[in-house]
Amino acid sequence: MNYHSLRDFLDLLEQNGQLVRITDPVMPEPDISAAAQAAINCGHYAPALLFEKVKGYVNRLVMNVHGSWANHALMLGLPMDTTIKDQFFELDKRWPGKVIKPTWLKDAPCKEIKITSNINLFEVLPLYRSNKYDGGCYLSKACVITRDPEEPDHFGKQNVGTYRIQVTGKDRLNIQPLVFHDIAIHLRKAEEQNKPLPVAIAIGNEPIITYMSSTPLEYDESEYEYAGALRGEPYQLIKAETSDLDVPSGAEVIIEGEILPRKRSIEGPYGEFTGGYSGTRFQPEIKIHAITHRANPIFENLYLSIPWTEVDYLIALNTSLSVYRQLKASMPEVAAVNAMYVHGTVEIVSTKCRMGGYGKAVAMRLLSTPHGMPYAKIIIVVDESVDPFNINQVMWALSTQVNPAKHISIIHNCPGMPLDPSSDPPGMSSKVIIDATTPVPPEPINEDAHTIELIENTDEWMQKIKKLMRK
Amino acid sequence: MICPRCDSKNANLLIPSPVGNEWEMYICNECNFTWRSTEPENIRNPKMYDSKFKLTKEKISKMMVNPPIATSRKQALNKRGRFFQNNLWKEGG
Repeated sequence: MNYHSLRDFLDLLEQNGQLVRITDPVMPEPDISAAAQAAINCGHYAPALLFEKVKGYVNRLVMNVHGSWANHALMLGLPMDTTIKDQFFELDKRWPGKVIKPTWLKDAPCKEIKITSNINLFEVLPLYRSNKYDGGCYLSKACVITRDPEEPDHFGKQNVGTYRIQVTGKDRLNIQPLVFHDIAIHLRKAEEQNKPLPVAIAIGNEPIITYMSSTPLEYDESEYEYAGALRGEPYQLIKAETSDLDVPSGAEVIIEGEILPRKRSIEGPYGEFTGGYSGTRFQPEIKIHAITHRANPIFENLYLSIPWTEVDYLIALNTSLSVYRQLKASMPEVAAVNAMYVHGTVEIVSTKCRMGGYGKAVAMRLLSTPHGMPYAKIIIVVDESVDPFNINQVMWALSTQVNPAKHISIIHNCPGMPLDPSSDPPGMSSKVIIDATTPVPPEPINEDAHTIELIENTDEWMQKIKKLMRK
Repeated sequence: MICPRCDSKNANLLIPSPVGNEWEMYICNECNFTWRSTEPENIRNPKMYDSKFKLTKEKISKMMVNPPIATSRKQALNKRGRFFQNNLWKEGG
């Protein structure tokens, strides 16, 4: 990879016309969110935005770094016009058969400035309210690092995750660990012992670790080892100042502190990836003990609203691939998974069917994966010849293969996603499986139904036409 | 100073803008709400804050605790101790 830090990647974006510098001073509210929403509306080639002057603050802010398929392709080292399906299979190629162990640096720019007293987060980060009725300013794109308190030496169980964090003081934060998140396991174990949980929060990272931090890996899998595999080289880490945590060496800012045991205070609401505000809840507090940062650090953050916004790119293909790999392990007929809608609330699986009812069996397996169990609510299963990323094709399958009385099943009283406004109570939901695969025996087959065959050299012709268009 | 969201009087200045005297930010010590002096009046003024997002004592008393606070090992052990000492296990209790 030809980038090792956020700054390297911003240079790459700029060289490709995918970074816009906002040099005029902007107000924290409402300019930042308005501009971020406008950038997203630019579609496949939406640029990142670098705000060089936010009124009242010292440092710069960058938004929408992952926020288009063109930027996503550049992150993976691909041409900007690479299709979504091709990006999915490129990720699949790199998704580790074997992971790559990280390396540790002795020093890195993220240690240039160290603050351990009179901490004031607002002097480091240009913080702003993202949506009008958010409870305050949020860190929404940080990598949050914790260790398993019962197995502190287990590297794989050290977790890197992205969780929403409200700034509730100059040196105080409130975090949202949902009960199915890995960090919630760490916190539970710490609270059972009535001990604080050390935490490091890395802001402004090279884009791959932020991407892995948003990926639903198994509990003992290391985000750093996966990031190494995606990058094709060992991931570079450095030790935190106040704990044994490993942090990304390329970060702009590292916040270090502790989650206070058995303490909750009011957090939220927050305009979430569901396109709605979450409720207000009692959630854990973090006391900040130290901040280290590069000189003139850049704050990287998200804007979330009704999809699509940047977060949807950050949790689209990695969620899809993670679920795909987990299904494929026991059901090798599965051809691809599209879990791109509201973090996999709707998931489309394409598969070959081994026997009648196989489509439904695939969906039930999906509902028992770590991510699918709470998140997936509507599962659509299509034939392996249907591209699950091509919604027109999926709609064709739904239109022509589904007999509702036979192929739609509702399952009541399952785990759900508490932020889904339709979950009742929050955290529980029913599920629907729509089996839109072509029936195979012993399911009765309509002898008169024959799908039109695909014309063989269409792909060749598409390449020819694309070339002619560029001339 | 009154919190625009929960009407508590326990609110104060959090910070002035780090540079340029551009704004001040305030915090409510009851509900953790923060707001900036340059935001619209329907964010700053308690009477104009949208009633759907206002917090009352009743709403706060019904709020979910997330994640639930785990039982401490000590408590769990004490409970188990009582269970065996009082022969509750024999009674299926």
